Amino acid sequence: MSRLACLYVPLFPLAARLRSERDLREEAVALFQGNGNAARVIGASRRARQAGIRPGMSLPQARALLPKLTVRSRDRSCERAAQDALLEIAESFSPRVEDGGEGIVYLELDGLERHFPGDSPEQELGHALTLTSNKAALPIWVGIASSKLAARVAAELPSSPKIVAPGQEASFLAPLPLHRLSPEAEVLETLERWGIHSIGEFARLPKNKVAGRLGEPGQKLHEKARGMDLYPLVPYQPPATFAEGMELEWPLVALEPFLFVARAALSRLCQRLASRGLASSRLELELNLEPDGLCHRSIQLPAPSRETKTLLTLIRLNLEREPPGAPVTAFTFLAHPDRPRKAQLSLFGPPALSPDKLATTLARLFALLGPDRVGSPKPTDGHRPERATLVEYTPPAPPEHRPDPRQGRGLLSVRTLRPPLPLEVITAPTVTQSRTSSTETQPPNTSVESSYVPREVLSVIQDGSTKRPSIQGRIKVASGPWSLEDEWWSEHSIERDYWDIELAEGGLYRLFRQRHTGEWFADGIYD
Amino acid sequence: MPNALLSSLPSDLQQYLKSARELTRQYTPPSTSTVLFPTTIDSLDDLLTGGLYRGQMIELIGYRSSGRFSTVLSLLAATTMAGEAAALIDLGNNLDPQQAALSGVDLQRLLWIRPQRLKDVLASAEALLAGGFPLVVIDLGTPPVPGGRGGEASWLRLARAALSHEAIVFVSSPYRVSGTAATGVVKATQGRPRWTNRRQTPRLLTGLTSKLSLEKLRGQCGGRSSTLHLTTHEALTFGMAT
Repeated sequence: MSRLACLYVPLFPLAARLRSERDLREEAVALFQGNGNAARVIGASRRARQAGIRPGMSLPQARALLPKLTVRSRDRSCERAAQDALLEIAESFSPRVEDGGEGIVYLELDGLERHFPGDSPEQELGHALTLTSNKAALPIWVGIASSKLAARVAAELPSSPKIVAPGQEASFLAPLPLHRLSPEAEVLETLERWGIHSIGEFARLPKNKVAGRLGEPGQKLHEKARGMDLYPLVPYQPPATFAEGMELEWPLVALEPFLFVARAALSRLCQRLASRGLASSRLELELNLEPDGLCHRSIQLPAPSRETKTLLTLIRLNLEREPPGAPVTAFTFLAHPDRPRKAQLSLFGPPALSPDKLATTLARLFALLGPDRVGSPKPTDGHRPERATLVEYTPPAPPEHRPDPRQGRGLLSVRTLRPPLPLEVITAPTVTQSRTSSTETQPPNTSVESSYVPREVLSVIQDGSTKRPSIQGRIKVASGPWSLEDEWWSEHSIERDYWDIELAEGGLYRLFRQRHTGEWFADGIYD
Repeated sequence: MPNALLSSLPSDLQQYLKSARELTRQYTPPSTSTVLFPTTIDSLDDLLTGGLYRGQMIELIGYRSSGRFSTVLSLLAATTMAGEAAALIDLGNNLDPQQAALSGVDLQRLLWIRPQRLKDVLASAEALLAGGFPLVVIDLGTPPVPGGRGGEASWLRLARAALSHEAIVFVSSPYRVSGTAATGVVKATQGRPRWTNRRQTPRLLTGLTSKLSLEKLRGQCGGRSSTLHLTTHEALTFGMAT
């Protein structure tokens, strides 16, 4: 017979809320459900209970007992996230897990005893489950038995972990009151009328007679009373996304307070991703706005990441760029999980970048500079020198052996100016003379127009030009024109005449003249 | 007075207390790695005793047409062709991918970052070092550099990060920016262009010659210099390099 463990979170709605606001764990807190005068206490922390706060009290009654009582409303998104976290804790121990409803999770323990080779493996397992759950700020009680009912009833007892020995389920349940079986009200009333108050008394009744008198509900309840499960364990299918969020006590208008609250939620989200060896490739943010608005954002990450700081920076930049436009009343983060990048590192070749570190670095740079400023350069079709394309940075694996260093080419490169720098160029018709005097050495395909051989360069003053390099002076040597025609088939055709010039004061530049406008620009510095 | 205070303490406690001067004398800075990283530019390698060492921050300063950008591309080419990743922080947005490929840079291994402020340059460099990049090249473009020189503390922190991550930070700047943080400083003078013969019309640019001089290198004497010869792609292709 399979052994099962039940993880039970006492006062689940309150525990879920305190998981989101860990600072309140030692405070007197009461959780309310309902609005206005109809609001009633549904859970209270230990300190609040010690002061006399009980479920069902109204807010004025609770405040009368404890004026400094911290009050929170029930938050379904917190509870959903806490339930997911509880399931993930169970999944980190066993592959077969069942979602038992609010604050209850069952897990099959077959084969796990090998991981706890002590005198009492189940006891050690129970302690390990409690410890792991406490780390995730979710206090649990653990019950272990051979049936789900017995395990759940054992988990609801305060002496955690409670172990019910195999085959002892019926005797364990026997002295407990009938309401532990969660019977239908009608059935319970009938049984009490018969004078049956404990599970054991009910289990001792003949099976056929119970079925004959109470019908199918009574028969099922009888089987439960005998320690038998009505259904086998129903395996839990993990969701495609990880969600964390909370409703805010009051609407937030400023960004910083929102990020302060969001950091805690993101931290929990990253912790959950890390516990399953996953990272987030896309992060969605849902903001509930006052009074009834909804704002949805989707942030694509350059590579899967689970670093809180990086994700928070991305959210900050996104919200700074496009503010939601109304106070935020609740938020939810939705992480789309993906496997972190993996790579086999070489023992002999050059060291490769760690994929995980690279993903984090790229995400940080994206957050800092924006996605259009980080990437791998890629040659683009065409002839314009200022053209450039950025693609995703995915470096290939390094070679298995370090190659011998090559001799450098010592190539003179051009520092491209983007956008080209407008210039005023004084030209002189002096080339005609040299052309006539050296007709033999003139290349046959060179078509020099004597009217615009550059002689002097002046910078054009424009708005913001103080941030751009200034080029001016008398030209010592001019070489050109070198013709460039590109995209002649489109409306944005380019026809330029390029010149390499050396200024008398020093400096080597590449200029061009737009043929159709006659304007001059510098688009590069030989450097 | 400090001596009087010191002598008033128990003797077993006295031996643990030291003045700032004594601590400075005893402090031996962590040595840079011995892993050599040749730049494949002979003139620069000669000045830097063979090349760059991991953990160093080297600054190359020079005005326009001094061969600074060509040196940066040669360094990136040497690194990426050896199969290592490299990052170029290009403040002036001056990189032409086609030309970088001609210089021998393996573009797939190059991360190109185009910040707009010096503050972002420094933050990006720190992030890249933490990310494990073995070579981070910072090119500050042409003057005026947006953001001035940056705080010296930031450059010191960057130099420390390079040391702790055993990476190389190569700063190419029109003027000194890193203060005392750099392990070595090389200055490039404005280059002298080389043209084809006057009789040939039009005259063709064949290259640039500039002078590199070592201004500072920890543990070495400065003042040495060498000549940097750079040749245009056209001159190399058509055999006009000389």
